[in-house]
Amino acid sequence: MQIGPLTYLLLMLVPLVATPAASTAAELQLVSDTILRGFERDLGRGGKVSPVPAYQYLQVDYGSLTTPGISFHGNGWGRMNLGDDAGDGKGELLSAFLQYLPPGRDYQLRAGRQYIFEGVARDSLDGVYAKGFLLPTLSMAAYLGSPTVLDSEGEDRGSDFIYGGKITQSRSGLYDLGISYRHLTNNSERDEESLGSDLALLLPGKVSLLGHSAYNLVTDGWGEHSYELRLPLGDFTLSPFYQRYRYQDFFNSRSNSANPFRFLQGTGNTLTVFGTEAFWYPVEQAEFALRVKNYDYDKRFGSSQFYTLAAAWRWRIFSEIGGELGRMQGHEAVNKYLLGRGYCYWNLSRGFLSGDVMHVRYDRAIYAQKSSWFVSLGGGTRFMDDALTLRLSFDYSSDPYFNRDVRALLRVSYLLDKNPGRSSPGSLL
Amino acid sequence: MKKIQNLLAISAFLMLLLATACTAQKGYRLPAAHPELFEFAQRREFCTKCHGFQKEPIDFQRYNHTPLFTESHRLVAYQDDRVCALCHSFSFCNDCHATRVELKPSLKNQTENYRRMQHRGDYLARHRIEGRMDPTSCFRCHGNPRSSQTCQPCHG
Repeated sequence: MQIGPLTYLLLMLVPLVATPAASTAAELQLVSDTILRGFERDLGRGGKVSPVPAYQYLQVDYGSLTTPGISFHGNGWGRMNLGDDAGDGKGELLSAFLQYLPPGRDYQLRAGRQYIFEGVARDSLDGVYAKGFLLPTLSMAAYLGSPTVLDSEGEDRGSDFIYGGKITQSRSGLYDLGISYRHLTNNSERDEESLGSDLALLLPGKVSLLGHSAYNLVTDGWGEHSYELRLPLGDFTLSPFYQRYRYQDFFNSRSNSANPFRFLQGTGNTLTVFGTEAFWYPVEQAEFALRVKNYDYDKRFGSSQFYTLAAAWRWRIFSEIGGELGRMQGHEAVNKYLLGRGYCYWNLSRGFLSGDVMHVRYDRAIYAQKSSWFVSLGGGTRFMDDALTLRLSFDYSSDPYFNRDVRALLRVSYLLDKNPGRSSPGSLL
Repeated sequence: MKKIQNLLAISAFLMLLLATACTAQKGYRLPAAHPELFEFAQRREFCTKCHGFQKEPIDFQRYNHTPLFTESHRLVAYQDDRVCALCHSFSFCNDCHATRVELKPSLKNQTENYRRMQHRGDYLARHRIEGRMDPTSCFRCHGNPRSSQTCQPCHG
């Protein structure tokens, strides 16, 4: 019998609930999202299908969630189709792990399916993770397990292996410097091995520098350099950045990669991106953002630019109206478009209304279409002290891929939050 | 020879770290979670509103959720994901950073339009251009066989 991802998630929780010490003052947060979509698709020969996919997302957090101790965290999703093509169901267990944090918070342990963010590692694995603060300003992290993403359906994982770690030296108010290592074996072959550095340097005048570099030990070359300055200037903040990617060392062409990245690895191209983000906050309710990006390539394309200007005005804490204008200025007409977007989110006492309009003009037609429209109108209401939320939205899209497409989405969110020391529901986020 | 040089460089760096660490004061330990506040983390937060621009024990300004934060938070997250976990549950990050999620983030959170989530609107058409301009940003989320299942029908 095959166990579904959501059943597996609940089974993982049983040992923790059955432990008396963990149950006495345990906190529980359960978030259930049920999503029902409705749309219609032309089959090209006059026929139509109306799939009605129903999604169930479940997140469970149990144990010591806001204090040190042992806790369980898990989430996953499943999908079944209630309309045409009803046999096509899918699902995925995204995480299910136990975590322990001692009272002094000097180390952290995790076991199970989890996502690792440690320098060059951004991986989902079934395994163990430990992070410790063994010396006053030195932290060390290590992980070991089986990666979950190397096979499209998760089979043949017996010879897949991932391990690595990170050492970080921090001086509060001065800098953080981390060195990370990652080794990935796919079907008993060394497919990826990389070293990385992460830097945060605090400079005089509230200026800071953030950076990341990654060195590919398989191809013996630097895959990425990404650095960014943060310059706060009163109501303004300026963030110039520089990034450089060498495709040969950034992508890989082995079986643990996917197309079109396998192809790109062999092109020998190098992409250099530089530009800036700028923010202006003239009053508390208003914000303006500008992003300017320049792309330079060794091969294939000439210099290209991307400009984004976004603005938002907030009222009544959660209500917001905003807009955005963007221009992709590629070297050739095929890589140019102009984007405009306006949105509104109006928070009401028992619910909300939302609206979104997006228009894109392509300099060169895609499938004989030179522009696209996307409109989304939604609304929602909250019940049971905000524990239950209903959201309904209707989308209209007319673009190169969909001609006058209308879709509906209903989302029912339920939050069960049991915290002995807390009176109001916690964050859904 | 190059491998030996790399090992020597790493060893020297580790020794330097160790020496610096031994002479340093006791470090700060992050709490398990951010203290509860009214309607906390249900909108884009600016940490400096409460914490100011103080740089210790952590640089709060770094974590301000600017209008472009959804697209540009990676360098901040690389530093220490425990700071993210103070306010966000693990599953919050899994909307994008996951093995495989069928619904694109902007569709799953369709009515939360103020979050400026990725792939809003007719991204299927726009991705042809943005993918050519900067494929590295696609690779971070769709670079492995399992997470690239949405790419495979066209890209093979």
